[in-house]
Amino acid sequence: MKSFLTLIGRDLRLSIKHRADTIMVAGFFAITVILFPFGIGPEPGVLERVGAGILWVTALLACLLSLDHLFSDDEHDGTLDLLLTAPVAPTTVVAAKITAHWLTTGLPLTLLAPILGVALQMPSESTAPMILALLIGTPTLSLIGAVGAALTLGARRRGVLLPLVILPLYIPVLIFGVGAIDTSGMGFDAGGLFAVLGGFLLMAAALCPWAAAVALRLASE
Amino acid sequence: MHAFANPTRFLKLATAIQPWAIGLCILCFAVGIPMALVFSPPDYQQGETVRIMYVHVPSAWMGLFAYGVMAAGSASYLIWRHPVANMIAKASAPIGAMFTALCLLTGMLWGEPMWGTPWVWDARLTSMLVLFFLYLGYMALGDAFDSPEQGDKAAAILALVGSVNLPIIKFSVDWWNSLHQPSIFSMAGVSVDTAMLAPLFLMVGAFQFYYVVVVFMRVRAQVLAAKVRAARLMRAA
Amino acid sequence: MVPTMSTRSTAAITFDVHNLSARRGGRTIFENLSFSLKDGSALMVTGPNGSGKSTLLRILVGLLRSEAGTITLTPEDTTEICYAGHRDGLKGGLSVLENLIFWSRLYGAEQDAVNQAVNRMALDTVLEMPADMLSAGWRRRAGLARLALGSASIWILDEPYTALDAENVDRIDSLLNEHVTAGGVVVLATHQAPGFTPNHKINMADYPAKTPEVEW
Repeated sequence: MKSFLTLIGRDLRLSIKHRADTIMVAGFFAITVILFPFGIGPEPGVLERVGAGILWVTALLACLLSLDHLFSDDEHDGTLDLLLTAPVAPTTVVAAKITAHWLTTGLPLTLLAPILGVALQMPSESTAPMILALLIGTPTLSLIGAVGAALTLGARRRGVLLPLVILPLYIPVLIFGVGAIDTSGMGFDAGGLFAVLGGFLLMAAALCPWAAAVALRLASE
Repeated sequence: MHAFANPTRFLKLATAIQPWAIGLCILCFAVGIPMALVFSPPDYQQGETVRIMYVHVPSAWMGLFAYGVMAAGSASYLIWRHPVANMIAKASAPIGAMFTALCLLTGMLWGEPMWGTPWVWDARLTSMLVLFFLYLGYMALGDAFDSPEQGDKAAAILALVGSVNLPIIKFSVDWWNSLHQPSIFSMAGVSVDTAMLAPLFLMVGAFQFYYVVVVFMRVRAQVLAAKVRAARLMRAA
Repeated sequence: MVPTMSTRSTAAITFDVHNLSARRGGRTIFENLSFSLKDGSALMVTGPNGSGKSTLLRILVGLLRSEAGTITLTPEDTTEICYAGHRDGLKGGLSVLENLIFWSRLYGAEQDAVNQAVNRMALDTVLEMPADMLSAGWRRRAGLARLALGSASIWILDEPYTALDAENVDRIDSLLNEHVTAGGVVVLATHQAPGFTPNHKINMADYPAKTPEVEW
């Protein structure tokens, strides 16, 4: 546990030093969401209907952008080799890096989403469900994404490969994330959908750090 | 199983099986195609378009079957390091992807007259579309490394991750579909007449044997390529 | 979990490698390599480029799998091994001190260990500098200070002398000598002859691959 916190501390400290990275991801999220009203017209009814989908799809893409350097920075400067030979379980290393990744991407995106929801003219009743859905769903994105980032470590044309590998696996989170927001926005009970999102999160938390650690070991071979 | 982990021994077995597989494949096609296209009855609702089903259903089945083989091969490669298991997994991917594409294509051909549009976000078709992308990811990842071994291992892990996700994706797509399109005339609901069953099974058999033939061919090519590579390396050393 | 510097000399260590073979990219790199090290000994691994020095070291620390052979470590505790590869593993964005504190926490070392490591490698003038501002020599020094942080008794170093001037070479030599005198074990891949004199030597060229490459 102590090494877990130490690792998170280091990654957070690094992301404060390179805060432009976090700001860029949030900026990408905002500007991409803002593009949609220009693309599909400003009619309130239309935007309101597709708002949740726009937010989620854009959040997936923003998350993907930041995954690129999740492990590759540590790989380039040799830290990854040292972490894998240090007296820490590789799954702990991976879990800590995923947590730090969520704190620096998923969480800022979640906080930014209600503001962008206003721009998309989403009903105010869907603000709380939106935050909750993103809060439960974005950690799953970081978890699954870490597996993809570990698998593509050292690959050629990584920027194109990573989306191809990860995005199909994001579809369930997208479906239920949007479903939870829309269903509660329409005034129905969406408890079951949030439970499914939570189930995805638990499953990903149980399997992904382990799979990513195996992939990292193979990448270091 | 361990006996066939040796590529040379596997190739011997494959060479012995190959003529039989080719023969059975041709036989199934020779009987199945006329039965499916000419002698089987048209559907009372769908008319002659139902004949697309004789290609569509076997391709859908093969798309899933090949993914299953790929996942099983990847698992035994990662756990027991069987080189042949990996070769079979790698050989299955493009064939499976092709069958999945064929399934999507025939689905669209069928949809044009039935739905009035080639593409409807039907739950089954959508799941097959995602499956197609899983195949693409597997193949792209396997080719993306300078060291072929690293590519093989990464792709094998992805195949397993994908096989865990496939039921989840299927479940999600089904739920999503039921939410957005509560009642649609789906190919899945077609009740199959016994006169249609025989040609359907023959076509499934034909596709299955075709798969076996092509997998063996591709594995043979991989073994030979590995030998060439090893010989080159030895000369360089 | 909180070992002190003094535990190093008390534990009796044996590090046995028996008939090790390695294969990379479908090619056997070396075969039947054996050695045995006890506490207070050092092994220098020499050999031409591509002979497998780095591969051997990466197998010893567990980053690579060997094709055949056994590695036995007594006491059976992999935390006894500390590795320093080609790259220093310093985070460019963090200061030297922040880097060292991070590793000391991860190794479960005491607060004082950082000060000791800083003194040993004479890093006090660059402590507050971001690591990516350092010259190659300083960076190597800061990177190797990490070895002095933990309590590992077996140090495995890959080409520690590259990019170093005479003064820094001496400093590393004395670090290694101190470690060996205190009962530690050093395995070192290099093609420079260091001022540090190891009591064991192996040349990778003596363990060429004999197995025919095409086995199918």
